[in-house]
Amino acid sequence: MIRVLIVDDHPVVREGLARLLSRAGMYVVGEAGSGEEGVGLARGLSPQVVLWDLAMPGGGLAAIKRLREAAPQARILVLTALDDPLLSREAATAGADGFLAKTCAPGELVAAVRACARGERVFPQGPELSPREEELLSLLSQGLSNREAAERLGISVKTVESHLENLKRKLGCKSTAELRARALRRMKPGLP
Amino acid sequence: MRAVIVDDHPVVREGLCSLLSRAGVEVVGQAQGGSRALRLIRDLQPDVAVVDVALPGLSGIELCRRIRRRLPQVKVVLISMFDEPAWRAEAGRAGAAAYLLKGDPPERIVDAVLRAARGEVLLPRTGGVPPLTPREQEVVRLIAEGKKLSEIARILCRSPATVRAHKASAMRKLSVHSTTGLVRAALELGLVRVPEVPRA
Repeated sequence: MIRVLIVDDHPVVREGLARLLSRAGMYVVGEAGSGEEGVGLARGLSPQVVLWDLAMPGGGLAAIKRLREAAPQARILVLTALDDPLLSREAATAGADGFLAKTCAPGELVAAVRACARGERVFPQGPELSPREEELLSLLSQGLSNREAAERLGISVKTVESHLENLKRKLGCKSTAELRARALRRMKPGLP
Repeated sequence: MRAVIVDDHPVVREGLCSLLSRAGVEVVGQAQGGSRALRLIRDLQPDVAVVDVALPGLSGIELCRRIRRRLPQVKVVLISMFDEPAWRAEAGRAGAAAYLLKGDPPERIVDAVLRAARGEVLLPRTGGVPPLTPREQEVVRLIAEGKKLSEIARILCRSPATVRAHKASAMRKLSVHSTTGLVRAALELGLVRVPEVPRA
Protein backbone atom coordinates (compact mmCIF):
# COMPACT_ATOMS: atom_id res chain seq x y z
CA MET A 1 0.00 0.00 0.00
CA ILE A 2 1.47 3.34 -1.06
CA ARG A 3 1.90 5.73 1.87
CA VAL A 4 1.08 9.33 0.92
CA LEU A 5 1.45 12.61 2.80
CA ILE A 6 -0.77 15.49 1.58
CA VAL A 7 0.53 19.05 2.00
CA ASP A 8 -1.87 21.78 0.83
CA ASP A 9 -3.21 24.88 2.59
CA HIS A 10 -6.78 24.36 1.32
CA PRO A 11 -8.73 21.90 3.48
CA VAL A 12 -11.18 21.27 0.66
CA VAL A 13 -8.32 20.21 -1.63
CA ARG A 14 -6.85 17.93 1.07
CA GLU A 15 -10.27 16.36 1.51
CA GLY A 16 -10.60 15.71 -2.22
CA LEU A 17 -7.08 14.30 -2.53
CA ALA A 18 -7.49 12.05 0.50
CA ARG A 19 -10.74 10.66 -0.85
CA LEU A 20 -9.41 10.05 -4.37
CA LEU A 21 -6.23 8.37 -3.13
CA SER A 22 -7.96 6.21 -0.49
CA ARG A 23 -10.47 5.07 -3.08
CA ALA A 24 -7.52 4.00 -5.27
CA GLY A 25 -6.23 1.83 -2.43
CA MET A 26 -3.53 4.17 -1.11
CA TYR A 27 -2.91 5.02 2.51
CA VAL A 28 -2.92 8.73 3.45
CA VAL A 29 -0.49 8.82 6.40
CA GLY A 30 -1.12 12.47 7.18
CA GLU A 31 -2.24 15.90 6.03
CA ALA A 32 -0.54 19.26 6.53
CA GLY A 33 -1.76 22.80 5.84
CA SER A 34 1.63 24.52 5.48
CA GLY A 35 5.14 23.86 4.28
CA GLU A 36 6.63 23.80 7.78
CA GLU A 37 4.01 21.39 9.07
CA GLY A 38 4.54 19.25 5.97
CA VAL A 39 8.30 19.03 6.50
CA GLY A 40 7.73 18.07 10.15
CA LEU A 41 5.21 15.35 9.30
CA ALA A 42 7.38 14.01 6.47
CA ARG A 43 10.23 13.57 8.96
CA GLY A 44 8.05 11.63 11.41
CA LEU A 45 5.75 9.63 9.14
CA SER A 46 8.19 8.49 6.42
CA PRO A 47 5.73 8.66 3.52
CA GLN A 48 6.67 7.15 0.15
CA VAL A 49 5.14 10.05 -1.78
CA VAL A 50 4.55 13.65 -0.65
CA LEU A 51 1.95 15.66 -2.58
CA TRP A 52 3.28 19.20 -2.35
CA ASP A 53 1.34 22.39 -3.17
CA LEU A 54 3.36 25.38 -4.38
CA ALA A 55 1.34 28.45 -3.42
CA MET A 56 1.00 27.90 0.33
CA PRO A 57 2.56 29.41 3.44
CA GLY A 58 6.02 27.97 4.00
CA GLY A 59 5.72 26.07 0.73
CA GLY A 60 6.91 26.88 -2.70
CA LEU A 61 9.94 25.66 -4.57
CA ALA A 62 12.47 26.83 -1.99
CA ALA A 63 10.99 24.60 0.72
CA ILE A 64 11.37 21.48 -1.42
CA LYS A 65 15.04 21.39 -0.39
CA ARG A 66 14.07 21.30 3.31
CA LEU A 67 11.51 18.59 2.60
CA ARG A 68 14.17 16.57 0.77
CA GLU A 69 16.51 16.87 3.76
CA ALA A 70 13.77 15.93 6.24
CA ALA A 71 12.64 12.87 4.29
CA PRO A 72 15.38 11.78 1.88
CA GLN A 73 13.56 8.60 0.91
CA ALA A 74 10.26 10.34 0.04
CA ARG A 75 9.33 11.06 -3.56
CA ILE A 76 8.05 14.62 -4.01
CA LEU A 77 5.14 15.21 -6.39
CA VAL A 78 4.32 18.90 -6.88
CA LEU A 79 0.61 19.56 -7.41
CA THR A 80 -0.25 23.10 -8.36
CA ALA A 81 -3.10 25.35 -9.46
CA LEU A 82 -0.66 27.67 -11.20
CA ASP A 83 -1.00 27.65 -14.95
CA ASP A 84 2.59 28.13 -16.08
CA PRO A 85 4.39 25.78 -18.46
CA LEU A 86 7.78 26.96 -17.24
CA LEU A 87 7.08 26.08 -13.62
CA SER A 88 7.52 22.32 -14.06
CA ARG A 89 11.14 22.84 -15.12
CA GLU A 90 11.73 25.02 -12.08
CA ALA A 91 10.20 22.34 -9.87
CA ALA A 92 12.51 19.71 -11.38
CA THR A 93 15.51 21.95 -10.75
CA ALA A 94 14.34 22.51 -7.16
CA GLY A 95 14.45 18.75 -6.58
CA ALA A 96 10.89 17.55 -7.17
CA ASP A 97 10.30 14.08 -8.63
CA GLY A 98 7.09 15.01 -10.41
CA PHE A 99 4.81 17.86 -11.40
CA LEU A 100 1.08 17.83 -11.90
CA ALA A 101 -1.59 20.51 -12.53
CA LYS A 102 -4.66 20.56 -10.29
CA THR A 103 -6.80 20.50 -13.42
CA CYS A 104 -5.67 16.88 -13.96
CA ALA A 105 -8.26 14.11 -14.03
CA PRO A 106 -8.49 11.85 -10.94
CA GLY A 107 -7.07 8.93 -12.96
CA GLU A 108 -4.02 10.96 -13.95
CA LEU A 109 -3.42 11.90 -10.33
CA VAL A 110 -3.56 8.31 -9.14
CA ALA A 111 -1.30 7.15 -12.00
CA ALA A 112 1.23 9.90 -11.22
CA VAL A 113 1.38 8.99 -7.52
CA ARG A 114 1.90 5.31 -8.42
CA ALA A 115 4.63 6.18 -10.94
CA CYS A 116 6.37 8.42 -8.39
CA ALA A 117 6.22 5.66 -5.77
CA ARG A 118 7.87 3.29 -8.28
CA GLY A 119 10.72 5.79 -8.57
CA GLU A 120 9.76 7.24 -11.94
CA ARG A 121 10.01 10.93 -12.68
CA VAL A 122 6.68 12.41 -13.71
CA PHE A 123 6.99 15.66 -15.63
CA PRO A 124 4.94 17.05 -18.50
CA GLN A 125 6.90 17.58 -21.69
CA GLY A 126 8.09 21.10 -20.91
CA PRO A 127 9.28 23.47 -23.61
CA GLU A 128 13.04 23.83 -24.18
CA LEU A 129 13.86 27.53 -24.38
CA SER A 130 17.10 28.98 -25.70
CA PRO A 131 18.98 31.44 -23.45
CA ARG A 132 17.92 34.27 -25.77
CA GLU A 133 14.27 33.23 -25.51
CA GLU A 134 14.56 33.08 -21.71
CA GLU A 135 16.03 36.60 -21.72
CA LEU A 136 13.31 37.95 -23.97
CA LEU A 137 10.59 36.34 -21.84
CA SER A 138 12.00 38.01 -18.77
CA LEU A 139 12.02 41.41 -20.52
CA LEU A 140 8.41 40.89 -21.60
CA SER A 141 7.50 40.10 -18.01
CA GLN A 142 8.84 43.55 -17.10
CA GLY A 143 6.38 45.06 -19.58
CA LEU A 144 8.92 46.10 -22.23
CA SER A 145 7.72 46.68 -25.80
CA ASN A 146 9.28 44.81 -28.73
CA ARG A 147 11.37 47.86 -29.61
CA GLU A 148 12.58 48.34 -26.03
CA ALA A 149 13.44 44.65 -25.78
CA ALA A 150 15.34 44.82 -29.08
CA GLU A 151 17.38 47.80 -27.84
CA ARG A 152 18.11 46.10 -24.53
CA LEU A 153 19.31 42.92 -26.24
CA GLY A 154 21.15 44.77 -29.00
CA ILE A 155 19.22 42.96 -31.75
CA SER A 156 16.75 44.10 -34.40
CA VAL A 157 12.99 44.31 -33.87
CA LYS A 158 12.64 41.73 -36.66
CA THR A 159 14.80 39.27 -34.70
CA VAL A 160 12.73 39.93 -31.57
CA GLU A 161 9.61 39.18 -33.58
CA SER A 162 11.01 35.90 -34.82
CA HIS A 163 11.98 34.91 -31.23
CA LEU A 164 8.41 35.80 -30.21
CA GLU A 165 7.02 33.48 -32.90
CA ASN A 166 9.15 30.63 -31.52
CA LEU A 167 8.10 31.41 -27.95
CA LYS A 168 4.43 31.44 -28.93
CA ARG A 169 4.81 28.04 -30.54
CA LYS A 170 6.79 26.54 -27.66
CA LEU A 171 4.50 27.88 -24.94
CA GLY A 172 1.31 27.16 -26.85
CA CYS A 173 0.16 30.79 -27.05
CA LYS A 174 -2.20 31.62 -29.88
CA SER A 175 -1.30 35.30 -30.07
CA THR A 176 1.45 37.68 -29.04
CA ALA A 177 -1.09 39.26 -26.70
CA GLU A 178 -1.48 35.92 -24.95
CA LEU A 179 2.29 35.50 -24.72
CA ARG A 180 2.63 38.98 -23.22
CA ALA A 181 -0.16 38.29 -20.76
CA ARG A 182 1.49 35.00 -19.78
CA ALA A 183 4.84 36.75 -19.29
CA LEU A 184 3.29 39.58 -17.26
CA ARG A 185 1.50 37.13 -15.01
CA ARG A 186 4.89 35.69 -14.16
CA MET A 187 5.81 39.10 -12.80
CA LYS A 188 6.60 38.69 -9.12
CA PRO A 189 6.41 42.03 -7.30
CA GLY A 190 9.14 42.50 -4.76
CA LEU A 191 11.68 40.31 -6.54
CA PRO A 192 14.60 41.78 -8.45
CA MET B 1 -31.18 19.65 0.03
CA ARG B 2 -29.63 19.39 -3.46
CA ALA B 3 -26.41 20.98 -4.73
CA VAL B 4 -24.44 21.32 -7.97
CA ILE B 5 -20.68 21.92 -7.87
CA VAL B 6 -18.88 23.92 -10.57
CA ASP B 7 -15.06 23.95 -10.46
CA ASP B 8 -12.41 23.20 -13.08
CA HIS B 9 -10.26 21.30 -10.56
CA PRO B 10 -11.55 17.72 -10.18
CA VAL B 11 -9.81 17.40 -6.82
CA VAL B 12 -11.70 20.44 -5.47
CA ARG B 13 -15.00 19.05 -6.77
CA GLU B 14 -14.21 15.77 -5.03
CA GLY B 15 -13.41 17.60 -1.77
CA LEU B 16 -16.57 19.73 -1.85
CA CYS B 17 -18.66 16.71 -2.76
CA SER B 18 -17.22 14.78 0.18
CA LEU B 19 -17.76 17.60 2.70
CA LEU B 20 -21.32 18.35 1.55
CA SER B 21 -22.39 14.69 1.34
CA ARG B 22 -21.20 14.13 4.89
CA ALA B 23 -23.41 17.06 5.97
CA GLY B 24 -26.43 15.44 4.32
CA VAL B 25 -26.45 17.52 1.15
CA GLU B 26 -27.12 15.56 -2.02
CA VAL B 27 -24.65 16.55 -4.72
CA VAL B 28 -26.76 15.97 -7.81
CA GLY B 29 -24.30 17.22 -10.45
CA GLN B 30 -20.83 18.53 -11.17
CA ALA B 31 -19.42 20.63 -14.01
CA GLN B 32 -16.11 22.19 -14.99
CA GLY B 33 -17.71 25.51 -15.90
CA GLY B 34 -19.13 27.49 -18.78
CA SER B 35 -22.41 27.09 -20.57
CA ARG B 36 -22.46 23.36 -19.77
CA ALA B 37 -22.69 24.31 -16.09
CA LEU B 38 -25.58 26.65 -16.79
CA ARG B 39 -27.46 23.94 -18.71
CA LEU B 40 -26.81 21.39 -15.96
CA ILE B 41 -28.14 23.76 -13.31
CA ARG B 42 -31.20 24.55 -15.41
CA ASP B 43 -31.92 20.84 -15.90
CA LEU B 44 -31.28 19.75 -12.30
CA GLN B 45 -32.77 22.78 -10.49
CA PRO B 46 -30.67 22.38 -7.32
CA ASP B 47 -31.28 24.43 -4.18
CA VAL B 48 -27.76 25.76 -4.35
CA ALA B 49 -24.86 25.93 -6.79
CA VAL B 50 -21.32 26.09 -5.39
CA VAL B 51 -19.29 27.90 -8.06
CA ASP B 52 -15.55 28.57 -8.31
CA VAL B 53 -14.78 32.25 -9.03
CA ALA B 54 -11.80 31.67 -11.33
CA LEU B 55 -13.23 29.43 -14.02
CA PRO B 56 -11.55 29.41 -17.42
CA GLY B 57 -13.59 31.28 -20.05
CA LEU B 58 -16.84 32.41 -18.49
CA SER B 59 -15.90 33.55 -14.98
CA GLY B 60 -17.68 32.23 -11.92
CA ILE B 61 -19.03 35.69 -11.18
CA GLU B 62 -20.54 35.98 -14.67
CA LEU B 63 -21.94 32.45 -14.34
CA CYS B 64 -23.48 33.47 -11.01
CA ARG B 65 -25.05 36.53 -12.63
CA ARG B 66 -26.60 34.38 -15.36
CA ILE B 67 -27.87 31.74 -12.92
CA ARG B 68 -29.48 34.39 -10.73
CA ARG B 69 -31.04 36.13 -13.73
CA ARG B 70 -32.48 33.01 -15.36
CA LEU B 71 -33.05 30.76 -12.34
CA PRO B 72 -33.58 33.08 -9.38
CA GLN B 73 -34.72 30.20 -7.14
CA VAL B 74 -31.21 28.67 -7.34
CA LYS B 75 -28.90 30.15 -4.68
CA VAL B 76 -25.26 30.62 -5.60
CA VAL B 77 -22.27 30.27 -3.28
CA LEU B 78 -19.02 31.51 -4.83
CA ILE B 79 -15.76 29.98 -3.69
CA SER B 80 -12.35 31.47 -4.42
CA MET B 81 -8.65 30.93 -3.89
CA PHE B 82 -8.25 34.59 -3.00
CA ASP B 83 -9.75 36.92 -0.43
CA GLU B 84 -10.09 39.75 -2.91
CA PRO B 85 -12.31 42.65 -1.73
CA ALA B 86 -13.09 43.67 -5.33
CA TRP B 87 -14.31 40.15 -6.13
CA ARG B 88 -16.24 39.91 -2.88
CA ALA B 89 -18.07 43.14 -3.71
CA GLU B 90 -18.63 41.94 -7.26
CA ALA B 91 -19.98 38.62 -5.96
CA GLY B 92 -22.57 40.54 -3.94
CA ARG B 93 -23.61 42.56 -6.96
CA ALA B 94 -23.87 39.40 -9.06
CA GLY B 95 -26.43 38.01 -6.61
CA ALA B 96 -24.28 35.45 -4.80
CA ALA B 97 -25.48 34.42 -1.34
CA ALA B 98 -21.96 33.93 -0.01
CA TYR B 99 -18.29 34.33 -0.96
CA LEU B 100 -16.12 31.60 0.53
CA LEU B 101 -12.41 30.84 0.39
CA LYS B 102 -10.90 27.51 -0.54
CA GLY B 103 -8.70 27.96 2.53
CA ASP B 104 -11.74 28.23 4.84
CA PRO B 105 -12.23 25.47 7.43
CA PRO B 106 -14.60 22.76 6.13
CA GLU B 107 -17.21 23.56 8.83
CA ARG B 108 -17.47 27.15 7.60
CA ILE B 109 -17.87 26.06 3.99
CA VAL B 110 -20.56 23.52 4.85
CA ASP B 111 -22.38 25.95 7.17
CA ALA B 112 -22.44 28.69 4.51
CA VAL B 113 -23.74 26.34 1.82
CA LEU B 114 -26.52 25.07 4.11
CA ARG B 115 -27.55 28.59 5.11
CA ALA B 116 -27.45 29.83 1.51
CA ALA B 117 -29.58 26.90 0.37
CA ARG B 118 -32.15 27.89 3.01
CA GLY B 119 -32.29 31.38 1.52
CA GLU B 120 -29.96 33.30 3.79
CA VAL B 121 -27.77 35.96 2.20
CA LEU B 122 -24.35 36.13 3.84
CA LEU B 123 -22.93 38.87 1.63
CA PRO B 124 -23.66 42.59 1.62
CA ARG B 125 -25.49 43.51 -1.57
CA THR B 126 -23.54 46.74 -2.01
CA GLY B 127 -19.87 47.46 -2.15
CA GLY B 128 -17.46 50.23 -3.00
CA VAL B 129 -17.88 51.68 -6.47
CA PRO B 130 -15.33 49.98 -8.70
CA PRO B 131 -13.40 51.99 -11.23
CA LEU B 132 -14.78 49.76 -13.98
CA THR B 133 -18.23 48.42 -14.72
CA PRO B 134 -18.66 44.66 -14.25
CA ARG B 135 -18.65 44.17 -18.02
CA GLU B 136 -15.49 46.20 -18.44
CA GLN B 137 -13.83 44.21 -15.65
CA GLU B 138 -14.82 41.00 -17.39
CA VAL B 139 -13.35 42.19 -20.71
CA VAL B 140 -10.14 43.38 -19.06
CA ARG B 141 -9.78 40.12 -17.17
CA LEU B 142 -10.14 38.06 -20.33
CA ILE B 143 -7.64 40.30 -22.15
CA ALA B 144 -5.21 39.80 -19.27
CA GLU B 145 -5.70 36.07 -19.65
CA GLY B 146 -4.50 36.48 -23.21
CA LYS B 147 -7.82 36.06 -25.00
CA LYS B 148 -8.27 37.77 -28.36
CA LEU B 149 -11.15 40.24 -28.80
CA SER B 150 -12.94 37.80 -31.11
CA GLU B 151 -12.72 35.04 -28.46
CA ILE B 152 -13.93 37.43 -25.75
CA ALA B 153 -16.85 38.42 -27.94
CA ARG B 154 -17.76 34.74 -28.27
CA ILE B 155 -17.39 34.04 -24.55
CA LEU B 156 -19.53 37.03 -23.56
CA CYS B 157 -22.01 36.62 -26.43
CA ARG B 158 -21.39 40.18 -27.57
CA SER B 159 -20.17 41.63 -30.88
CA PRO B 160 -16.44 42.32 -31.30
CA ALA B 161 -17.33 46.01 -31.69
CA THR B 162 -19.00 46.04 -28.27
CA VAL B 163 -16.01 44.30 -26.71
CA ARG B 164 -13.68 46.81 -28.36
CA ALA B 165 -15.80 49.64 -26.95
CA HIS B 166 -15.60 48.16 -23.42
CA LYS B 167 -11.84 47.80 -23.81
CA ALA B 168 -11.47 51.40 -25.01
CA SER B 169 -13.62 52.68 -22.16
CA ALA B 170 -11.60 50.67 -19.60
CA MET B 171 -8.35 52.02 -21.04
CA ARG B 172 -9.69 55.57 -20.80
CA LYS B 173 -10.77 55.11 -17.17
CA LEU B 174 -7.45 53.55 -16.21
CA SER B 175 -5.44 56.12 -18.20
CA VAL B 176 -3.46 53.49 -20.08
CA HIS B 177 -2.58 53.55 -23.75
CA SER B 178 -1.61 50.02 -24.62
CA THR B 179 -2.85 46.48 -24.08
CA THR B 180 0.25 45.80 -22.00
CA GLY B 181 -0.61 48.78 -19.80
CA LEU B 182 -4.15 47.48 -19.48
CA VAL B 183 -2.95 44.03 -18.41
CA ARG B 184 -0.61 45.57 -15.86
CA ALA B 185 -3.45 47.75 -14.48
CA ALA B 186 -5.67 44.67 -14.30
CA LEU B 187 -3.04 42.92 -12.21
CA GLU B 188 -2.69 45.93 -9.92
CA LEU B 189 -6.47 46.17 -9.50
CA GLY B 190 -6.62 42.51 -8.60
CA LEU B 191 -8.89 41.69 -11.55
CA VAL B 192 -6.42 38.95 -12.43
CA ARG B 193 -4.17 37.37 -9.92
CA VAL B 194 -1.85 34.46 -9.61
CA PRO B 195 -0.52 33.50 -6.22
CA GLU B 196 3.11 34.34 -5.65
CA VAL B 197 5.44 31.39 -5.87
CA PRO B 198 8.33 31.62 -3.46
CA ARG B 199 11.36 30.90 -5.66
CA ALA B 200 14.38 28.86 -4.67
